[in-house]
Amino acid sequence: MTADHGIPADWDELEEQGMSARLARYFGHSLHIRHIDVGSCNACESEVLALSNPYYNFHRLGLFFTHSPRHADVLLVTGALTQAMAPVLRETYDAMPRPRLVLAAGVCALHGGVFANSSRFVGPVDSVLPVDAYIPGCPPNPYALLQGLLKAIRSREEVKSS
Amino acid sequence: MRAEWLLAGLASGRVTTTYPRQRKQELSRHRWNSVPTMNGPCSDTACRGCSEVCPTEAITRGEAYGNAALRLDVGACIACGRCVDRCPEGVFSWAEAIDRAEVGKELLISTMEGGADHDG
Repeated sequence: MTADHGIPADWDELEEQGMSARLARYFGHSLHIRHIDVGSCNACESEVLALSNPYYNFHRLGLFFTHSPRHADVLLVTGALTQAMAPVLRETYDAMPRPRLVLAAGVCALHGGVFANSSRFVGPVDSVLPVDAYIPGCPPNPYALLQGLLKAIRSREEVKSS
Repeated sequence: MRAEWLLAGLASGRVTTTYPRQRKQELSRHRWNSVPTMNGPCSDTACRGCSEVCPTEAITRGEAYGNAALRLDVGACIACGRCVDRCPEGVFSWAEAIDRAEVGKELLISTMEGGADHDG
């Protein structure tokens, strides 16, 4: 495996068109993200909200935040899953229309991080929901969040074509 | 006054990143420490410094993975940087690719034993 983790060094115009076509085919020209905090320290939230600022400007890729899981294509989970939020997370997932993607962002969602030994910690997000992309980092930077989203869409396409 | 501010803003060009296009150029503009990587094998089989200082047990080593073997789980790493500071051989360093994300949890784990690199 290379240091680039399977993504071409330069995301050329062809790749860009391919990704646009994929977005259009599966999610109708735009992708709406529902972000849920299941016990985070708000460092991940700071990075997630940076996605919509003028610098990262993820709206240029057709990505938007939505407040309702019924309008969402992607569930972005941050934080260490607590006992109080586990049923809420499940309900949010069940309310989403298909096809749906789940991204686990941050070490707390992936493993538990410094909260892994807490008595109120249920477990990593993938013990409760099927996760499409794992985004490490404490917190993950906005580039990593975008990379996770693009990889999740690509891997879902590979599963579908096989 | 307002016109000056407007002209200065227009003259300074766009600020929005082009990521994921021109990925390498965009990432090289930032010198952030996101996740560590392992550069090479560790020759000191008695040293347990990295696994001792790791607060989340992201780094493990010992009999289960071979005598000199190291196992780094980036999915459990909180990027405290203690392993980078602690290791006298410089086995750990900060990764160039700060946008790391994987579709499988096992892809975030890398092991290294006795000279051979078994990444992924």
